[in-house]
Amino acid sequence: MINIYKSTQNDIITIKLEGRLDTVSSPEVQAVVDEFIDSAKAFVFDFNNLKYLSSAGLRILLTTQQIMEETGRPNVTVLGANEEVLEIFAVTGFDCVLNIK
Amino acid sequence: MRNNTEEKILLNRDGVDYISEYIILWLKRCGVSKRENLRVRLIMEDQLLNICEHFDEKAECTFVTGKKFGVPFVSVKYEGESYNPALGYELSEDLLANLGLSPRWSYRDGENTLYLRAPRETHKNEIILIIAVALAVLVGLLKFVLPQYIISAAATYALDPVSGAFMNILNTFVRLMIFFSVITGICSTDSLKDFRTMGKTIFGRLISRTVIGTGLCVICVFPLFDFVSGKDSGALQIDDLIKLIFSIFPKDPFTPFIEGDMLQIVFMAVLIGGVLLILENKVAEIKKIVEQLTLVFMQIMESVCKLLPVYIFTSLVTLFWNNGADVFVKLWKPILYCLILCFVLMLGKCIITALHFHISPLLLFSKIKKTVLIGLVTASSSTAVSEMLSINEKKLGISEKLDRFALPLCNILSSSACGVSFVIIISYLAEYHSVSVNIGWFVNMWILCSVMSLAAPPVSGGMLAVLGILMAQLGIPNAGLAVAALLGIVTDFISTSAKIGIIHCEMTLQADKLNMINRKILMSDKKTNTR
Repeated sequence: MINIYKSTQNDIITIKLEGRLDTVSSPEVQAVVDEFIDSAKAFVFDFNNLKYLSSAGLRILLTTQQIMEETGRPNVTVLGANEEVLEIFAVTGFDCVLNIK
Repeated sequence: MRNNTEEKILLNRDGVDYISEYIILWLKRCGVSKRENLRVRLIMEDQLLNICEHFDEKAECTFVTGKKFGVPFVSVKYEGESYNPALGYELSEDLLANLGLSPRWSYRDGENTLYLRAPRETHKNEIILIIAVALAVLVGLLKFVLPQYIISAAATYALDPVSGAFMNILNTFVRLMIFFSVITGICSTDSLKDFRTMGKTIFGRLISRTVIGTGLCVICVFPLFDFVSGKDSGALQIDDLIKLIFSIFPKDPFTPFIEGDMLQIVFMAVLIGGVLLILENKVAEIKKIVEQLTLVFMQIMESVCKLLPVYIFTSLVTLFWNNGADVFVKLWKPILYCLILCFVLMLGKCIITALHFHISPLLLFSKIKKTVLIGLVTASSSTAVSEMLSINEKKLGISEKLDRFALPLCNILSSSACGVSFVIIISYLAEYHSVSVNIGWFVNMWILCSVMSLAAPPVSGGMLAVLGILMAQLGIPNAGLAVAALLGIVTDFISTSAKIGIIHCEMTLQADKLNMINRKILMSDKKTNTR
């Protein structure tokens, strides 16, 4: 179960997620990313209220990062991740790929 | 939640999440640490997602959890066409490399099987060994308090039988384990076809660097230890060398296992592995059997090596009671030499790398010192993997693609520091037991230490088994095994630390050779945040 809140300001897309980004909810989040992937200057994923991140969620972050880099807009930020989510980034080594604040 | 579960599940997105949550609870119940739980969960989730998408969420699977020899495992079987979820998706391959875990996949009679065991915690093993050593010293001190008849009875009826039994079991299986794991290792190079350029270059360099590093150490030990010279005549020593080279060829397939001749065992394994590789799909069943046998013997070794702390305790107490504290006091020499030679090797590699790129060696060392320190403190290169990946990419400028592929390979094959520690330990024991040596003996030591540092079983106690083999092959009496075990534990910290430093430098050079490095990052002396 996930709640998705999106906002845009100067082509910076902020996607706030509440709940669980698991395999079932990941297509919804992917759909939101796909909506803006061509036009966004930057993506900010607000994880302040995200409780759980699965591999499917990790894929969304990494493919978004990859596409943005390939199109000359290397600007994907993750904000407010909790300890468990930070540990996922550390264990997978993707903390050096993603911009985490 | 039962110990063993077998459940039929439709592998759609709900099914993937269900299995994922089950894995978390199952591993938590089995006492697996949070970190290892996370690794297993992420890997299986990722692989199951690939399967789910490949079969359009229509695959029916059988999900199994259980324990084998006390180690929890998860397994998923799904029918249909042959599909390996680990291949073909770049992010999955990166994830597998980063997490340092690979589920085993097989396809037979129309059924795919994906299987993953929870990884063992190496950090805990080292702590238990150190506690065993400390306890042994404390109990050893009882020699000055207890009456002699109690000391003798304890040694004769408890300590000696226990340590003897452990070594007998270890020796029974280690030869077979090394034989099958070398064959499996060679056959697995088939999977490097996709990385033709990277794989061949790195593979060859790592092995040659191990042989060269070990050889240099053999030359260095001449003045460091008081060896007892064997034969005086140069002609006789050349004769020994010739015999040594031809002694690699066994006269029959069984004697090497009976006599424990590791060079002959490894020679046969390399030959058989090479033939299996050439024959490819015609011998797919045999390759599978060999892989399974490797697993069986590896599992047996792991189970036996759970008793390693007991062996360390009993053998060190016996050593202390028979020889007093003197034998421990003298150990400063091989430990110091190992420290010096390993770090000279690492710093030498640093300097060569720095000169190649025209940067300061101090700058290069400052970039890698964090992981070198992790290795020194933990004796575990796998603990440092995440940080090593980060440093390789953010501070050394190595491309992500090469880093994810080459680092696991380097962790396995970069063994020059391990070879150095073997040479030092064996040389010390040869000096201590006044073993007669000659040129042939040193060449034999070089070859054996190089081969065994590459073929050493990656299990706790693997090093002890290898040291036992080296001692037997080089004429060092069994009585030295307890000292070898203790030195092995201590030098493991040193050699792991040096190995990590060497891997960073080697990968930097490799990246340059393959044009996969950003020199600006390497030459930058700005502090970057690696976490």
